[in-house]
Amino acid sequence: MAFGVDFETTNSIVCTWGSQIREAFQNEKPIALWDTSVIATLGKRPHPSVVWYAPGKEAVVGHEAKSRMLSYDGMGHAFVRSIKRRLGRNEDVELTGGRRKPAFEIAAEIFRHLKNDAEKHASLALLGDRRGTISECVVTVPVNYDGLQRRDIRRAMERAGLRLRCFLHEPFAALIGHFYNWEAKLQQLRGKRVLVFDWGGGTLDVCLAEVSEDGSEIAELAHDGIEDRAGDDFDKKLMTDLKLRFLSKSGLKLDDVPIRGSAADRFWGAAERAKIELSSIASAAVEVANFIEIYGKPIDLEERIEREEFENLINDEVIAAEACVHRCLKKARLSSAGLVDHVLMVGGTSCIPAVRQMLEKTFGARVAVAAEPDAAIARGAAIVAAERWEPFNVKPIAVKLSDDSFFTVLPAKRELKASASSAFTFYCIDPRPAVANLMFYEQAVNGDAEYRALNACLAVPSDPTIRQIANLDRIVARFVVTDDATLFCEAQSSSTGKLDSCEIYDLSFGLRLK
Amino acid sequence: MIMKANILVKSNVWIDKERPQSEWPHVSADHIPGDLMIEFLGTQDKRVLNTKMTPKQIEEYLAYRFFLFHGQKGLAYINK
Repeated sequence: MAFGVDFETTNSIVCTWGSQIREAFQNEKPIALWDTSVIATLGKRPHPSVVWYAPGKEAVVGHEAKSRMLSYDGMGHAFVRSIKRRLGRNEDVELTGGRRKPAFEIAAEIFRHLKNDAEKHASLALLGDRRGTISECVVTVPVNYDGLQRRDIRRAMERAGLRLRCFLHEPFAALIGHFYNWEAKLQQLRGKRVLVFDWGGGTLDVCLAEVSEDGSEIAELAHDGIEDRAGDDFDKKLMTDLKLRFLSKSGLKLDDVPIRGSAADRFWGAAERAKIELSSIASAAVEVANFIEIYGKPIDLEERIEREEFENLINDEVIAAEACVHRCLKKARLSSAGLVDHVLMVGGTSCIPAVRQMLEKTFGARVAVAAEPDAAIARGAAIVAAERWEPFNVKPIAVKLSDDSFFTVLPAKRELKASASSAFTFYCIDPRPAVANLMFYEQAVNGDAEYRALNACLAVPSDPTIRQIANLDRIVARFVVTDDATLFCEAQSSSTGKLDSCEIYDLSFGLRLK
Repeated sequence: MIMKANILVKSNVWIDKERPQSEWPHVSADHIPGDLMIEFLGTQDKRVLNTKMTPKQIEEYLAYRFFLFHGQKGLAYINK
């Protein structure tokens, strides 16, 4: 049995797949391990990525933590949500009473909860003793997640007793989860291009992938994303709007409204609920009891919001999302949206009608919403883990030389797992600026002549006084594929002994479909 | 007024693509900018320049000289 984890800003879920699952359950696709505590009341729901720290007790994660956050009013309790957005910044999160915890340790509580829940999950009871424990899994990350953020995820997993098999981009995993069939694998997509639009609580991730004509490989042609315009930001926009309405009705000033502690958490919860409801109904109510207290008198917030009003609030974000899709098409050098065969929507924010309309305007009827969109990404991760498909680098990474040609330092098809490093000697042919510039590019499309600048450059301090060819500064550069599917680059000057390093995380994933 | 970027980072590294681990810097002589190569050679004798420099380097050097004032010498002679 193999496991895939979709660790998200708002909700997280584990899926499992393998021959045992296929034989025992006659399933066509991986099993999603929904939160059993709410199946009877709320239906199939993933685990909220909320952590509750109560004084003197162990951390509580998931629906229990979220429901407490929305109703509880006790002192000394801390609720942490959207921790995924704070990973990779090397910062501590303030709890209560001056207590602080590193962000990755809070993320570790979520991984621990997912692991424990999956190991005793009722859906797998049929397997009896064969179910075992989870030790290794494939984990998905947003397309713009850098090396530090991935490293924090790995640290969180290690704290929770999990080993990382490999990372995958979230929309890429969703594609696999949606189109996979246990017999045909991804053969139905031979020679086809699929654009995945994954808009969740924390990030927008867009990926355009293609399955080779012979069905032996699937590769990302391009990916793009936005980090600060997603479901959580919509909640905040909605909260600001509701707060302004409340102020104008009550005649209070902004400074008079100190919304703190549990009222702030309950307000966020109510705004989020209204946002979700507006995807299916025309208007939603937002009610927060004891919203503020003026001279000891509690005042409630009671507002209604129409779908049209909400869609106007997020209009800028929808335009930014559309631009992101077009950037992705441009990066893949597709001249027309007509060259995309399927468009798949996943993530809670994709359920907003205005978002779907925006995509249908570009792609017409080819737009489809993933079945059980909450689990599509983790399903893809579980499939990759079970099939043992190894990720490889799709587009060659190169250094630009002084004659405007390119030298490849990471070729296409190279496996994206920790491997032996490669070292090359560059010469700094113009030492006058006192730095040797190693600028990194990726081939726009594998095999194409066009290169696209990456957001990465090394500036190695060099000796500006060198005036003999024999003494030209040798810049010894080392390139290593890390455990986090990034390329670590380090270069040292032989004249000054100084070095510079950077990490390229913007690599495109491919998979060999054995 | 439209502000435009006025900085440019240019690559100033070169590698022997056939021997990327090579420690022999002379193969990169053809890629040293012409105005710097003059300093390396230490002369402005046309006969030497024509044999030691590539057409591109000579072009770069002439372009550089074009912007000097009359009678002014290139960087190669500043310290002499």
